[in-house]
Amino acid sequence: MANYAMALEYQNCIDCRACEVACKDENQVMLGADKQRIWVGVVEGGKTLADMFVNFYPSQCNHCVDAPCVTVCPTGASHFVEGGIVKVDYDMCIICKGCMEACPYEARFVDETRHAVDKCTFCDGRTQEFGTTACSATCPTKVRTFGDLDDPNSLLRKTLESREFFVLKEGEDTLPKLFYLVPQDEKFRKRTMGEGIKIHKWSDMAPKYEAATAKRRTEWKEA
Amino acid sequence: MERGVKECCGLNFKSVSFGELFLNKTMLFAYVLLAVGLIGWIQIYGLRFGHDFVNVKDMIGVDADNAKQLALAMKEQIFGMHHIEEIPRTEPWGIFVAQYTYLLYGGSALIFLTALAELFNLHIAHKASAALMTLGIALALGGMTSIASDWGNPLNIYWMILNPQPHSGMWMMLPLYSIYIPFTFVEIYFLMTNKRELAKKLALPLVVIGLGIDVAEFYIQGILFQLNEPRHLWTNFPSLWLYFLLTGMVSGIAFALIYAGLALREKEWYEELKVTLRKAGIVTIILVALYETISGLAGIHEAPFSTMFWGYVVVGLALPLVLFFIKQDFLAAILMAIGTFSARELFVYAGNAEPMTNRFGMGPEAFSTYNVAELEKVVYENPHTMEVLIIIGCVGLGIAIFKLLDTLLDVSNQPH
Amino acid sequence: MSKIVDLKRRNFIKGSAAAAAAASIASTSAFAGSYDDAKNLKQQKEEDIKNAKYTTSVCGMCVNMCGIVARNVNGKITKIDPNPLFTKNRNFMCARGNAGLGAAYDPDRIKKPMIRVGEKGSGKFKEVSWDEALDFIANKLTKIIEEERDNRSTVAFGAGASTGNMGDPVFANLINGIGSSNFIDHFSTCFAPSFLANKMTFGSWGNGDFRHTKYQLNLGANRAEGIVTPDTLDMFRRTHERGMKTVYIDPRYTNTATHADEYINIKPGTDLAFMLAMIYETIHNEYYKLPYQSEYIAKNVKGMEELIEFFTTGEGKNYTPEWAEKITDIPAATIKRLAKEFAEASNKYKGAANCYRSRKSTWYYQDYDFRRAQAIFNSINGTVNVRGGILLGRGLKLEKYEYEDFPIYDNARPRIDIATIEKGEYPLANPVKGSWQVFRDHILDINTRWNKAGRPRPDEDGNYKGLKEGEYPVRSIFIYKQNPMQSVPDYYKTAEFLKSIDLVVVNDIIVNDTAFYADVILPDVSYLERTSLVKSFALSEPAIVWRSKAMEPMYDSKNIYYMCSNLAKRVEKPLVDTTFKYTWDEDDLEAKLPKDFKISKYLTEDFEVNEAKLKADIKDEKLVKAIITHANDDLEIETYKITNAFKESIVDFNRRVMKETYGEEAAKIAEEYGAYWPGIEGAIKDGVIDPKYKVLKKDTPDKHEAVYGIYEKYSTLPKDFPILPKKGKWIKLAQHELEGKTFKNPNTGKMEKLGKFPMWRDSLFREPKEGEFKVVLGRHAYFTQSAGVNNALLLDLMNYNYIWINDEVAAKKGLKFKDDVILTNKDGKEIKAKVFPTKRIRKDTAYIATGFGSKSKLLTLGENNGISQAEVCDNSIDPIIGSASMNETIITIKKV
Repeated sequence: MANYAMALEYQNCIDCRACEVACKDENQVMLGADKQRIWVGVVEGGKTLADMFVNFYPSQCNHCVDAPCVTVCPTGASHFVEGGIVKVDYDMCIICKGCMEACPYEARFVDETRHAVDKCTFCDGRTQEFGTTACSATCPTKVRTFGDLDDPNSLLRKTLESREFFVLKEGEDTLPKLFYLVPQDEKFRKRTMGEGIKIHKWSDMAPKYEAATAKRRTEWKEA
Repeated sequence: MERGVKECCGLNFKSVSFGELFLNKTMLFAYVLLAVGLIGWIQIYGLRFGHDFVNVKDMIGVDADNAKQLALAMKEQIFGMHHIEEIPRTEPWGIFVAQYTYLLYGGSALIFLTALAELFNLHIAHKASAALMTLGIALALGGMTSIASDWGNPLNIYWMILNPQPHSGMWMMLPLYSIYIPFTFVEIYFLMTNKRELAKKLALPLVVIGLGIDVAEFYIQGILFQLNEPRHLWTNFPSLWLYFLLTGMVSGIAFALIYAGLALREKEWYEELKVTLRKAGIVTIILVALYETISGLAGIHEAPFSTMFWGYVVVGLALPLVLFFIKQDFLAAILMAIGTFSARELFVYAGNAEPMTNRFGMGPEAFSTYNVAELEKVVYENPHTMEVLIIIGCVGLGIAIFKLLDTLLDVSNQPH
Repeated sequence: MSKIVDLKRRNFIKGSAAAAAAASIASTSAFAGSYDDAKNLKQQKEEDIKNAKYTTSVCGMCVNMCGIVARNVNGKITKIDPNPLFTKNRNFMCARGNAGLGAAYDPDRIKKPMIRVGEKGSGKFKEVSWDEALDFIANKLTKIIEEERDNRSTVAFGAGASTGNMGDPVFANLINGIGSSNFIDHFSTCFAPSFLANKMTFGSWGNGDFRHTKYQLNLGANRAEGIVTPDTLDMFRRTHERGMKTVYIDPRYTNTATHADEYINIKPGTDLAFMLAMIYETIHNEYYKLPYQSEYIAKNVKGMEELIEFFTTGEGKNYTPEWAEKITDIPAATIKRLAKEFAEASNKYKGAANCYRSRKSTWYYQDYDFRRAQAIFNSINGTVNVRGGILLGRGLKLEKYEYEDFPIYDNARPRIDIATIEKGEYPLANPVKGSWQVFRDHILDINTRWNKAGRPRPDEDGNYKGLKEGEYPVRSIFIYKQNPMQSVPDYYKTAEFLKSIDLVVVNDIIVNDTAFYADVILPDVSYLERTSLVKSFALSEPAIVWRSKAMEPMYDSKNIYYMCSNLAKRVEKPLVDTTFKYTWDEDDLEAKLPKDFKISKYLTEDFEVNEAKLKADIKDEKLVKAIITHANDDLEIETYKITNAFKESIVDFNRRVMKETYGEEAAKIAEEYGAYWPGIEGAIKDGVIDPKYKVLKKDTPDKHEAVYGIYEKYSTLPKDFPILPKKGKWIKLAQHELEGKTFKNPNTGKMEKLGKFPMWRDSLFREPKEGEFKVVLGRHAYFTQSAGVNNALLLDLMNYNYIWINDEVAAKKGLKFKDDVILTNKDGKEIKAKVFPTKRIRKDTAYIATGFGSKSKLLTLGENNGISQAEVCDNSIDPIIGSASMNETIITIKKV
């Protein structure tokens, strides 16, 4: 059974937000400025025009191996499906918003047209046919590499094995599955990565992820 | 037996007219609050179930007939989302949850305190316990109405039964309250029943079990919040359940004193009750102060949380303490009630204050170029008017439930 | 919209009965199994995807024309994905491309033809049928041409860039068929300066080759936001020490600046001074003598000695970096270093460097010389027509749809803007495309005078009472997918211009500001609803692209082919009568034409004169002979049949041309897969592409690189195909033909002379005074000019174009984000706006994003949703080319 994840070459992101619109189309997301499953975070730094900088952080749901949003859900609407994808069953959600509180990444929102809490699904239903998500397919600079962590031949695994990466809010122990690739350019690296961020290699992260995934895999629902 | 009283199952039911039951001063006051709440409820359910919200699927479904309506719905969402949307993603929980914790913890803590008084066999407890427990459970029900109003889609609540999630703190509320609420009524029943022998035999075990359930409730409430790990304020509270219990006791004592001051003035045991509550008040305030000192929760400096914090500390704790010493119990109680609400607001809102968007350790992220200018160091959204109206309605509901039970069962005149 | 109202999933409840809602709740099984909903949704998606129809098409959201694949589920396009075979867009689609659904399914789409009923500009129209609308237009049009004595140029035509050129040839056939010389497009509001400068220096404006560029010196070509394919896509995968160094110069810290190795802010309007100093440095440090450069120059470049002379003893000797520092605010040391870096990079990497030009380059009065200086700088560094530099490129051969057998209409007058330009002005005005502002201003002026004079008819020589010689009123304009109200500076003048014209016909999909002022609005189809002419692209990987109709036209919309051919059918006979009448020369033909004679009565289907019928009606043999002579010999009357140009449908044309040029298989592949290049057959045969979904096969090992790999592997074109074979010294540094030509300085009103080399003129430079701001216009990546103004999906990303000003300046003025301000420009126009104070801009500069602030009341989302560039920009016109100098605008900002 596949275990889907994504590697993000975030240094390529130009904030064109093609991914956001592609997602809205593919997944028929509600209209409204902050009603998105996927977004580009913008951080500004520096003091004047001469020394300032702007960073772009493409992001979406991390589909954590130990997803806290699934743990807190009182009805089980938040659940894992095959592929380790975290999903919401709209007919089971009471919009108590506990999952939104539990998510360290603010990846969830209320979609009033579905009348439920909504989030990224890794384009489940699309990827089976196209092999990749809408956001990845449309990206101008190919920020996102979607793939199967369990498949050593996947581009995702090859990328993770050949590059250094980091994950977001590692301290929360959620084992997120968005892997941000460390830029080669040291100046840019310093500009975009906070002090506390730990840099990893797949060889050092794999055992942890594999063990946790093996443990949670029994919870994955048939999709 | 008094005139107009019917006995049933060991309880004395007053046979009262419709007018006596529903048209008295207290009920009229409750109606005013409920009417205020009703405006909010109509608005919020109208928004949730009767408002046009559109997504890309609807957009594609455009035809000559619905185009104008679709366009207007789009316009509202794109340009006025902030004004129509109920739940911002930055701050999922707000004033409903604050009100819920306020009334529920206050009410449960009052029940806990009353049971404790029964356990220690205080004289006054025998006089007032039924009334205070009823007040406690009525307010708790008001609080639960608040949380039920918070759920965007309560229609799906049955999944909690069909699909149990024992690892979820929130799911645990289901078994908890299915036991807690009936059990409290059982406790009240035995406090008031004419079947004295049975009551005497069961009193102690019931009180002990009741205390256990109370503590369990606070414990699970603690878990509920602590499961939200990224909300560091919540996880940093040591023994969250104890904090809930102690501060709940402050509110509970405030509710009891206000109730006594308004409704029990004529009773010969009023003074005794007041003194007891005052003593309890002083002790709890000191306990809360100790908790705050030990846990090291200094003031939170960003507005509006600093206001909430100092509102809680000064209005809810310090001033009442002073007032208790000069025997201004009623005023103290009102301040405690206000101050502890501030504490609940602080707890919920400040728990959400730290933006979750600081994902890369470079500061909070904006969602767009322009959103950068709107970034705040802390997240705070003012509650909607309709939310404020509803929480007022919840208080009205608590008062109405209590008054109905009091009129029917005369809980304030128990047969001890 | 789902017809079933479902309270649980509230998909846009219609204002319908609550009973329906109740029924649907009852029908929803309340106790469905757990996770059924999630499972069903996924299954539904998979089924939709499997059962959908996939059509390859071409994006029409901007001018780039990227290849796309549209997914049609039950007649509705639900998703668009990029077409990996059309190499230009590198298997990518931007936010606007994805928002194509928002354009096609815009609830404010024009649903039926509309004829104005209220006053012009009141927005009051009545819906009519296509026949009514076309009859109305045809009657008015033929009457006007009759009144203007067959001056076909009284009917003007405008087409926009958003037509993606792919509809233009059809429209062009109508223009040529009617025979007007007045055609106007976006040239003069878009890319005229850099196009002309590059073309005149090295023959073509060329494309960047950013897959191979090692050093990029970018002057305000904000590729992260003004997306150009494939430049943007290649560029940002190679930044941050991955092969290409980027130096980016702009008054504003744009998204491109975020990815530059070095960002330098420059005083707006001074890029020319910077470039002149760069050339100065190159000359004085003899970088042109570096081994690579000297070899390149010796082989390709003409005029090097003159250039050296100009920069050592001529005017150019003043253009030192220190001089430029004072003008540009860029330190002299930086300029020196950049000139050195660029030259060394070019030398080291054999020309793989690029001093990148902008696409939209209508910025300042000195644009032409600025772009010329860039072209010269590139040339003397040897970066032109080499890999990694500027590829001049060539496209794959393709026949044109343009019909060329129309007659020359004797009575059609020369185009109005060029004809009425004063002597010595606008020396580089484009004789075919003119200048929007000059065109508008002159027509408004002439029409106003003509109206005042009581709308006189022309005399036999075409002169009008009250008008000067050579002037004539323009009484009709057809506008196809262009929105001059929002793209041409001075909104209100354009409105007056449209009001001064008797018949304004607009083809579009929404009632934009231009359509708002129309007399007749015709509902066009969106690009997803039409098949377009095949088009060839001269890129580093040349390819042909084919747009197929992905869905049926919505409502009563019809494509441009329908409109043109049906209008042609209606007007060709009345028009030939008019021409026949007004070209009749009594003296020559020795006969008098009867007053009511209509030659069309005697024309067959093929416009041959039916002599028998003629003879039957007219007894005067001499007259009959004269008529026949005039029809056949003078006029060659068969050529007047306009519908001749529309004989072949677009699909038939595409199929025939592809088959004739590249063979049957190629034609099939192009139609089915939306793209063609020699060798593509191999890729299809090898199954690189999923034959159903038309995208890369699911299990393609590396989808990111595949898009480059496929072309490299299968293309049978020679590797150096995009390098043009050139003989001799083909780069001309000095432009002798321009030397001495005059232009009128708009600041001083004096006539000045152009030089053979670019020159800086203080007199053409306007600096904002204390409290003033120079406006720079530009893009965000989500909007293409005004076409997206009503697009829900794009407005969802950004719903207002706040004016950027420096945060310190804002603080001094007490301005916070979203505060209301009044902008006042040189013309005294006051415009309401909201501000965005930011560090990202210079203190003397204000930035406004294009594509907002429609005033059309018929756009629910677009009406007043921001600042209109056309309203803010004053009517500054480039004195050399006549293009819009939009960034010459200086404004003051006042708090409300």
